[in-house]
Amino acid sequence: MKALKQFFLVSAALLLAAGGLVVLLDPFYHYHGPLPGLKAVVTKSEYQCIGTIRTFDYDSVLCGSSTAENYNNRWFDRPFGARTIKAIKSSGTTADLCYYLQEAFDTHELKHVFYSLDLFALDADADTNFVNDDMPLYLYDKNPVNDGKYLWNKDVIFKDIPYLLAMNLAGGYDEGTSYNWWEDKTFSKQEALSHYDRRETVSAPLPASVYEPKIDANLDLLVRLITAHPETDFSFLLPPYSMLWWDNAYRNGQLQEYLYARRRLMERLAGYENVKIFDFQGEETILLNLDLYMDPIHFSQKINQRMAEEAAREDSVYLVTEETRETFLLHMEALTERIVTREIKTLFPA
Amino acid sequence: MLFNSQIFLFVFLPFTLAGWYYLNYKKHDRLAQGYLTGMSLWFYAYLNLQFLWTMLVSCLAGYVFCRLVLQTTSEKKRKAVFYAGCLFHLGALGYFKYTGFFLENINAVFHTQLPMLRILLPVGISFYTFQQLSYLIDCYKGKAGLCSFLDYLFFIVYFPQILQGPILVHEELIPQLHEKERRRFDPDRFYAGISRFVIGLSKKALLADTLAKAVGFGYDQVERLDSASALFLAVGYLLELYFDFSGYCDMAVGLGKMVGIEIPENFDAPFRSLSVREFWRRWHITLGRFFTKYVYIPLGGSRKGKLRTICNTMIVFLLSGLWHGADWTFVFWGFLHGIGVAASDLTSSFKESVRKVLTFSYVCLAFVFFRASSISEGFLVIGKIFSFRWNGFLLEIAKALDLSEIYVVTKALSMKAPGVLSILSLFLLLLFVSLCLIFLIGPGIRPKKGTAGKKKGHAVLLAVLFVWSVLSLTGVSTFLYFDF
Repeated sequence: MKALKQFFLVSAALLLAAGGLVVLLDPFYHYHGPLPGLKAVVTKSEYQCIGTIRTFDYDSVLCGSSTAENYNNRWFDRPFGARTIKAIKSSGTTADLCYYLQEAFDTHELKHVFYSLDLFALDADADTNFVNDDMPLYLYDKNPVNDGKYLWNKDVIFKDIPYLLAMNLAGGYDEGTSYNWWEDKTFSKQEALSHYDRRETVSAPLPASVYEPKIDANLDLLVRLITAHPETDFSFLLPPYSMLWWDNAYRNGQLQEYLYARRRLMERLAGYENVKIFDFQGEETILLNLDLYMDPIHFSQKINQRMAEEAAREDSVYLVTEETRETFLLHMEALTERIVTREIKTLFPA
Repeated sequence: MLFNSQIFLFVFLPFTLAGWYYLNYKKHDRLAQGYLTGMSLWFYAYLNLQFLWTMLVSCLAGYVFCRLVLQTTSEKKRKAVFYAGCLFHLGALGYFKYTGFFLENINAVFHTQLPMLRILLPVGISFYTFQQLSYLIDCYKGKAGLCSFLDYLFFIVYFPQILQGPILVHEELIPQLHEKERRRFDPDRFYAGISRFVIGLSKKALLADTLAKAVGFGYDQVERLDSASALFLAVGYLLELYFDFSGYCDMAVGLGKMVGIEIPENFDAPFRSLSVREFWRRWHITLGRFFTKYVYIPLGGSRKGKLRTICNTMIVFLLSGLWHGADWTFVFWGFLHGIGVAASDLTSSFKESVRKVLTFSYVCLAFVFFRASSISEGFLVIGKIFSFRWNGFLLEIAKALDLSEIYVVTKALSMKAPGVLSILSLFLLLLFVSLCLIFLIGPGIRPKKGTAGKKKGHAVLLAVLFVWSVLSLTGVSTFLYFDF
């Protein structure tokens, strides 16, 4: 009996100690924000994003996919007088990002939403978001019973907590760089081309009836958020994909779809008073310069910085207005035509 | 529900044990048994409710067949009922487990386009089918009497064994239900059960799951293997499988002790075997017992000459292969073991140590086909072992171990001395495998009867091992979404 008691007592003590440590330091910010004196170390979006949205102190959200991860939050904090956090979902669809934004609106009053709007995200299923069995649901649902998977988790205790402490002790960690991945990547024409597996044939364009309802359904999600929160300013930033990406879209038969997505999003979102759209997709100095890319879609951090600076300018040349909208659209149509007929041939002569 | 899950450890098990002992304490024997049966059904249904109905129908029909066999007086009718019962059980197993395999082979041989049916395989069906068959056969042979449906249901669904065995025979379990002593809480037996359970849990969570990461990494890239990495794959997988399955069985035995309704051993230090025949007396003992009792002996066993003995052995192992999985890889694996058993006497004059090494090596190679996705992949792995080439792939496999416990060290090394990291990973892999082998070839860590908990510090060590295993049940995955 003594051994039995000893086993239960020691087990309970160890489990309490392990769980207590996780609750105290909370590396996924499930229970609370960073402890006083500790910086928020945020690197795993699937595990930490939902916690930071629910427990951090902020008034603005920077939302997007991997193309938005390399922003520094401070680039938005300073000019907008905001406290910004990121809501990131890698390869995130509109429904994914709207899930995050809804969580943010449910828990905070938001002054500003900076939304990196990817064209491919408008092509996804608008009814399903990423919160499914493949995700660590114990962090997403509000059921304390399954929190055991977080409290007694070897990786959290042996990896994430030491990493949090090490980043704080080492000093120099910039909280604004949450989810940044650019540091150990190479951006060059050679690198970008090495990640482009060009199709040999050109597919027939998809019929409009296939993609138009999807795009509209995704835009409906955004319109609902915009109209439900007139007090919040929404800035939509359209990231510049490289000419390789546009060539791939053409060869996949999706070029018209993406051009249509651009047109529809500008038509449907630009009319709201609390919305601004900044279109960087037609910036030739960026998308024709492959040295700024690591693959067809992911550009260097410098581009993120430039986009953030432009978003803060009232007179930005990238700001889409009722008057300039058609110019932006026609320019992009002409540019994509030029890319697939001329520019790409400098790289793939045959 | 899995033993190695938090819901089992922190919800199911405490409630089950508390209810069981409370009802027994209050002398509600039948209610206690009903409660334990009900909890076992919940345990089973937790994975998929649909499977529960299949299993219950199987149990109900199985019980009816046994009852009819025992109550029918006409020998002819008895025989007909018996064969109908066997056909029912084997037919259900065949339908759920082998329909896809059968259709696939028909299409391949006759170049037909028969549509493939998508049939979900109920968990544990191979185990509960064999257990019911054994009871039916024993009833037919007059070796088992009629029991109540509750006893029969309990015999099949008792939670420590429903998912992965051991395959019980009725006389091991049903009489225990009527022994009053077993229903009283016995702290020594309970502690021995915890001790055994924790050893099993740690085998699964700390050893098998860790090895699985490295083995899986290698098997995902078989074409990159060299001699060393292919050899690791063969040895590593056998160790992984052993720790996984024997760990499960240790947990089952431990749970049996905690409840008081005990179940038999399924492993007995198999890697100390001197021949493949002995290996099969020590590995998955209850399956071997089933095939011996219900297939090998009725076929004539070893009583009808050498050739017939070899034939019977091959039949048993081919069936055993097919029982393990509906794929030719399993059949071939069974074939290799049949050959190994039939040829066991060839090494009887060798030194013990040589026989041990030969047996281990043969079993290792045969189990490659158990893991490989095709027979050709199995031969590819074995071919790579004997290619005598080194390309450094083992270093990558070693890194895939990714031990959280030493993350701080590996992270620091990856920043300060990345070259040393590979060497450290390889050292850890070799150390890990060596320790596993020592553990297996050595005397084992199962405590002698009655000694569990008597040694100073045993309970503390056990608690540490338990908590370490619990922490290892959950991890943090890497979500890779694009190819940096």
